[in-house]
Amino acid sequence: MSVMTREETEALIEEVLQVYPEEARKERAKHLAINDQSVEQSKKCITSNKKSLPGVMTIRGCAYAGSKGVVWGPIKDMIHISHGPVGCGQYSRAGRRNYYIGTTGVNTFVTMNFTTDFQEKDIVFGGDKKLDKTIEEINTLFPLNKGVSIQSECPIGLIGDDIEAVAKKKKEEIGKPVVPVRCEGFRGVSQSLGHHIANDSIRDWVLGARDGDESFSTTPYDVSIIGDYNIGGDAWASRTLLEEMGLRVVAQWSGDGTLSEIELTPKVKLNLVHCYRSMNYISRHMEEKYGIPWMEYNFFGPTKIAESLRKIASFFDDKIKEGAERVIARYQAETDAVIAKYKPRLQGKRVMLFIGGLRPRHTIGAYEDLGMEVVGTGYEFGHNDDYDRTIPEMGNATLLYDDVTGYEFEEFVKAIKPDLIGSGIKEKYIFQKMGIPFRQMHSWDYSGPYHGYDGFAIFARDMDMTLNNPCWGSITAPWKKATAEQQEQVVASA
Amino acid sequence: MPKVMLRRDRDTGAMTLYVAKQDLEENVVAVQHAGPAPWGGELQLADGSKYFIEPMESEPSFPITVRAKRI
Repeated sequence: MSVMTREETEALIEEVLQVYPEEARKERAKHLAINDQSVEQSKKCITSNKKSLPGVMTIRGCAYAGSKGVVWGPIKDMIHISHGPVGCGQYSRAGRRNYYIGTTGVNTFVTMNFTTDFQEKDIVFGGDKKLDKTIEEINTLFPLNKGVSIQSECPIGLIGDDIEAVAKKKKEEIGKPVVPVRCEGFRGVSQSLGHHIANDSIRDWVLGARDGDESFSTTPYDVSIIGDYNIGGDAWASRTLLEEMGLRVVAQWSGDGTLSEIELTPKVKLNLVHCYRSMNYISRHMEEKYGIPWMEYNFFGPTKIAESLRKIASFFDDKIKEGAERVIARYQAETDAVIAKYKPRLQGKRVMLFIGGLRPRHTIGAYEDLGMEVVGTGYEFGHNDDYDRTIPEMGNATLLYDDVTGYEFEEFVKAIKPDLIGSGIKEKYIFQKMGIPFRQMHSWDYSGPYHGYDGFAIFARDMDMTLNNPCWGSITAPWKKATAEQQEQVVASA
Repeated sequence: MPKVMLRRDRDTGAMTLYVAKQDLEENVVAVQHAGPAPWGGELQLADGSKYFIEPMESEPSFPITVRAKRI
């Protein structure tokens, strides 16, 4: 199918909404929009960050997922206790493939699951004593941990435990930071509030630790990478580029990051924000308190990388500016070869995305570099400021869907018939069974990194590998295919 | 009385008002007392809404978080 016009897209949304009861239809209609680049403010065309409707299938997570899974979890030398019943921690263990360097269980703990394992009696009599004992045990068994964070699960808020008091007491006793995080799952409408809570807890309990301590020797070229979770090694692929242009990366938030890196972040000259959604809060705080400017950058696809590197360099002197040009020039041949190899195989293919965080808009550039077109995109838990940034990136009359429901997504795909879908594991098998190539864009489908020039080569290879896989020609069962051919022969011979 | 953050945008030099809980980030087009002293009062935003902040003795350094009242 060719590109849809505005009217066709409107009709499609209307048709998809028909199945809902009156009230639900009214509510969902606000979350589905047709992109119009002339709109300056997204709130005029799309509503976001609202509670999902009861009864629909949503892809969202909870505040605990946003805090423990995304922001705190990858900090490798701290132990993150899933405080509450055992399930939340167990089902989210091993993280989001946030790679890190270290010996797990000795000095790094990302993929391990620490939980207070609440039982009935803890709910009835309160779990503070158990938490106290858990921290004690953890500190004995894993003496190389640099600190502990307490990630609350739903019951903690419901029974009203005072984890802050326990944290303060244990902080004195073990002499390490103990951070209580009030990220009970029922807070907010999605994981997005969990990010905010986690940011606030870092602000209140960690960030000021080295205020007034000037022992850390700084350089004029100190930066930090904020909001890169090192999925499949992303942050490393970004870091090499920054270091190559002459900058010094002091901290990685939070993929492959450590507690001391986080404490040192207030000493940097510039905060580089990749995932705006999950870490803009702390960047804004650091701008106010420490006067550190922040900027958003995008390391997906050579066009955006070059743009971002130049923008980063504009904060520094000529040495860094030259460095940026040198880096861009150095990788030029490499990227040209990647594009020359894959563009003919991917040219004109249409992609639909539905992801979280930054990728619904950041990956558009990378697809465009490969000659592909993004015809629909949407955020799981985006806010209006995310859509503000998305609208200029997307073509006119393309589809925007916020917190899309399982039903809507399937219907859109059936109508638009994209050549590739990028979403998460829960959507993967539905669409693969429908015969549509699919990439998991949360975890890069166990591949990666996708950031940086090195990542782009992998990105291009993966997209080609998925789209041009011979299996898509074998979706129809052989016996069904045979009958279809025979019938044709019969018709032809008759 | 939401807490708002006022900051200057580096690229455009325009002042923006940010309210985290409302996802509101909007340019300030007019300030009642534009300074140098006093600074504050009614802030007119690009989308037409107005906020009031207590006038300060002099123009503060940005970004700054203040309590504001929506009018």
